Amino acid sequence: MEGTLTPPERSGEDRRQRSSRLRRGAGLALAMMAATPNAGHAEPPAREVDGLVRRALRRAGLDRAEAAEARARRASLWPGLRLGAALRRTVATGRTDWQVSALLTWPLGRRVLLDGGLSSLLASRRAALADRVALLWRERVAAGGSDDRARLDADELDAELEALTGPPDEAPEDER
Amino acid sequence: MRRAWTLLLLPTAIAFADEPNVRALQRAAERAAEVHPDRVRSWERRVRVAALAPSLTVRVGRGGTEVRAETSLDGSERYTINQGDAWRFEVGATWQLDRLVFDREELRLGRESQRLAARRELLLTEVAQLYFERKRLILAFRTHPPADEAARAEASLRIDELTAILDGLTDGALSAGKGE
Repeated sequence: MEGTLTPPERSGEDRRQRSSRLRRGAGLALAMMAATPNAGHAEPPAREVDGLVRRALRRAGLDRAEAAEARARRASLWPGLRLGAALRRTVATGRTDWQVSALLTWPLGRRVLLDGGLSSLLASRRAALADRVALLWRERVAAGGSDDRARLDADELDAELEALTGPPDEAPEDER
Repeated sequence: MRRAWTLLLLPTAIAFADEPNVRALQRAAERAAEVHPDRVRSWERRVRVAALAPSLTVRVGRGGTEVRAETSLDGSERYTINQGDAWRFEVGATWQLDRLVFDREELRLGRESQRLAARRELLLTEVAQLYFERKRLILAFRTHPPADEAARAEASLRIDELTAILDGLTDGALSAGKGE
């Protein structure tokens, strides 16, 4: 995974405190959702965070169901197809012959697919992304207050969520 | 680049009126770094289309001698030699049908698309954090201006620095304003 391009410092929130919270993961975040009373804010339905996670996974190309290995196994049953056409013209007699052919070949000794750790990379990316979205959503739900500072904090969390999920206008109708 | 002092002196509504919002800056950063998801989708489309395109073989030749062996039903064999002076044209098209189901290029594409997605997520998050840090600094400066000159200069310098970083990440979208 790459590092940030420049290390941003936040004045509105202690970065160290925030990053330690980020490491706790979605399981803890969701447990906190159930345990922490949230005065003044109605708890949004879980469907909302589901939709956000789905949007983030789709945007990152992590929503494909079938693993590469399964498709590679299926692909090994498919043959190669060769279609050919030949024309032969004898100069002396002026006679022309032609021929068409179709050839199917099954290379039985196809190489075993080694995905080079791609499946584990995808799994860890999927988990990390879901955790991050859930945590940002939780923080957004907990963001209270109506002064300028609180509004800025909430707007920043929205923008960080959009960095992962994409803008709502790019999402399917049922996930906005 | 719009200097910090103009943002600090103008009324709030005017100071931010011409600036793009954070979403516009994120889109600009995405464009500048070429990390939009459409880029990956385009690669995937091309891999799929490539599997439909055959390998073409064209062969042209002239001359050669043809030896033909014929075996009759009674078991006798007969050989014929034709001194051929003939042109021969052959065209062939070959499809690897398994590539329609799975192409090995997809593995490389999968890794590259994840590298791109991770970079996009970090970049857009960074743009959001820098944008709001800058906005907080400006608002704090306006509501509670630092008492001494050195602190004012330091805050002004930091705002200029954040503006420059955001411009760097967004190909100048912040300073260009809403018009761009």
